[in-house]
Amino acid sequence: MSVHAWLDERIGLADFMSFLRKKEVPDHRHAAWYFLGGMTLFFFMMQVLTGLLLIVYYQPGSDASYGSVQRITSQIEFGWLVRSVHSWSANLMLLSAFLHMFSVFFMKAYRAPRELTWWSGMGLLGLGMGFGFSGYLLPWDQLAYFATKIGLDVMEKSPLVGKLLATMLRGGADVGVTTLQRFYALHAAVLPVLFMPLLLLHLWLVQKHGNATPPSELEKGRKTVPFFPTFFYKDLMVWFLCLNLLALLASLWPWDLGPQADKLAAAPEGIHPEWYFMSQFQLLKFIPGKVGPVDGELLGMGLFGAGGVLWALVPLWDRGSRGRVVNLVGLAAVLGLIVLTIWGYAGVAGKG
Amino acid sequence: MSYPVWDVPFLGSGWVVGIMAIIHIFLSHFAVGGGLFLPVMEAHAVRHGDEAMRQWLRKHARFFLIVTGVAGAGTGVGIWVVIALANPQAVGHLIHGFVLGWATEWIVFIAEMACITVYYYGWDRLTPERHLMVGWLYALCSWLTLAVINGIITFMLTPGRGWTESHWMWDGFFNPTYAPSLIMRTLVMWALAGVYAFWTGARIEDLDLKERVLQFSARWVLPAYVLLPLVGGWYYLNIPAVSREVLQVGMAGAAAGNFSMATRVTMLTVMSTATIGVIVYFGPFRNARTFTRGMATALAAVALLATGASEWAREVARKPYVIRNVMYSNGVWADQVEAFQREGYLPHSVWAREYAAQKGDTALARGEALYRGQCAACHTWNGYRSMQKFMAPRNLDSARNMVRMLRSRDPRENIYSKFMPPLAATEVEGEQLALYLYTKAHPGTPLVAQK
Repeated sequence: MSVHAWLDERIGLADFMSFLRKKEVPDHRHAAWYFLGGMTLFFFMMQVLTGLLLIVYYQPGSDASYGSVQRITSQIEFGWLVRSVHSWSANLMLLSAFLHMFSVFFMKAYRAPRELTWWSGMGLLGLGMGFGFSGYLLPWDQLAYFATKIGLDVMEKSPLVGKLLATMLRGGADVGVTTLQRFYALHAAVLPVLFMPLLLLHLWLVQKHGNATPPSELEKGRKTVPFFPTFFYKDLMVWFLCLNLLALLASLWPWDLGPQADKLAAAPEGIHPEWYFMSQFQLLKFIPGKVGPVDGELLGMGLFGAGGVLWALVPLWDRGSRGRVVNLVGLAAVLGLIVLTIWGYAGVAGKG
Repeated sequence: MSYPVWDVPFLGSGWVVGIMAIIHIFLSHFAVGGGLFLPVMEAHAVRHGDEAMRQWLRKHARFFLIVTGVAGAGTGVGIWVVIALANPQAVGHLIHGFVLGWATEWIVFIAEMACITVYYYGWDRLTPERHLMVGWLYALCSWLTLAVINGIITFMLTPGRGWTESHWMWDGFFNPTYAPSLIMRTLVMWALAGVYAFWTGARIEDLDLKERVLQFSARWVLPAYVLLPLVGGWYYLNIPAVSREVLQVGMAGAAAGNFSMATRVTMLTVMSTATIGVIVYFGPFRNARTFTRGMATALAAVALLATGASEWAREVARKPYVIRNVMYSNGVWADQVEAFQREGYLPHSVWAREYAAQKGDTALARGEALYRGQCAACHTWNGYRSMQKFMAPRNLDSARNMVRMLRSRDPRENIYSKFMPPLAATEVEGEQLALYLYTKAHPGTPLVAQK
């Protein structure tokens, strides 16, 4: 009995292949954006793989964390590569997730019956940013320490649950070993437990409803290509290109490890959060300390939060003839994020 | 050192040569590999009576002629200009040592250009048999350009014991890495010809023809992937033991500089090359009809990455020499080091001496002249291999100790000796260099504070 026949008898391989061949993916001039979901998934899988390898050597603790990351980077064979791939793929995962979200937004793929797909995707992006924030502290170097400190200070200013969340994460009055342990638990246990079922739900919803065709392309008549082998092979090629990009970045710009965190030292000049929090960081700089009776930072975070909620709820308010308004809102959001992020980096350029 | 220094801020002269060379190699390898691709595909089309494929090949030949004859040849001239500026001493030595080699190279190159011109413009004018014969002649001439230049390039990495003793051109030409490098490059060129064909073939509108062309090109590429790992291993075993050590050092640790960079870039070469194989299989071979120009461009970008990475790794394998055991990468002859360390670098270097004199011949000026003469060939002040970054955390004593260490040629005393030339200067000149580096990295800091 061949392997194929053996598997077919037990798991219905032929049925599965037949299903894949029947499954279709829309084919139009914007179809290249469909690859972004798969790219995000690829970078997430790289995160899991390299994260599992890092766990083998990483030890949480004020001295242990820094020492173990130093050992991974300078003594363990290919440890530097695993760590660099982990850090780069985290950034690339969030970048492709953001691009995926915007492509879904502009292709109106959140419209009925895909509201839950959109919301589960938003949840995954939020958790992904949580992975990034919690993972950043784990090497316990100077930059990680102060960036986390600033991040938690900003979080504290968020309305409603900000203070509670920041206190819970910090585990005390200041960022310390307890924070480190909590971040580690969050990064390696809590977030994966939340992320995995949500990811499965998202993938199942994508499978159930298929890829949405943008309204502008629907008018021209719906063209499709079979998922297997046509789209599958293309997806595979894109994944290999992503792997090369990851290898290139990790090899030529391996992730640095600064001096060990020292609470008594001055914060590094030009300290700033990671790029995906840069726009909030920059927005807060524009708002004065007090706006009338309201605290400026609280107002800023409130505005950002309200914007996020409005964005997430787009399937509910994009009704009837509001399509054009939604596009303008999306365009403003994209431009706003880009401009604020660049502005933020220009402000800290040359300061460390 | 009998020549002035070509100072390229931020990038460094080495990278100017590198960028030009990588582009040229990407194009010239196409010229050689494509040289064989054209007559083989034409013969295939004629044998199968596939006139549509033959007509497509004509369009491909036009693209080939423009890319290789204009861009390829243009960057070839560009390389001569930049290497003559970056390292005139080494270029002079190679010209004098391989006069017959260069003459042969230029003759076969002219024959190559003539053949491809006749091949393209004679498409309807020559009989099919004669046209194909011109194609085969082009393939031979273009491969000969590789066979000749390969002898000179590999000589720089492994001059070989024969040449070191006899100084006879052919001993240097047929050096230990000549054969593995020739076969490896032939395979890479072979594969690249297919990658270029995907790019032009991806736009074919007739889907049946597109499938035939892309699948032919994929079959053309894939055999190279079976042989490349074997020949790569053969090449690796023939490079100097010290270069192999450099590659192994980088497995643990990602320190900046050549320590681990060579390993990282070599890994990148392996990964990008393997990726090309996978994409070719799943793309143009299995999925030819839906293979797009965008994908072909991405594939070409990966091929460019593989080319760039492999050439960079080969250059680094030669460190600290530009011609192994003969001349260091900063143009200092290996057998001059002892005399320079005893009698001084400046007395033997007319340009450096003049530079220091123009700046008042102070200790700082002499230090700067030494920096330009011996460090600036590989380091920039605030860009690639930044000295500013390297010196920033050091005090004057640390700078002095580092310079003292660099004078040693013993690997136990000088940890950089496998990657960097020894400092060919007297102790006093070394002190001046340390003073210059420290002062430039810490402007305004009083020296007394560092005592």
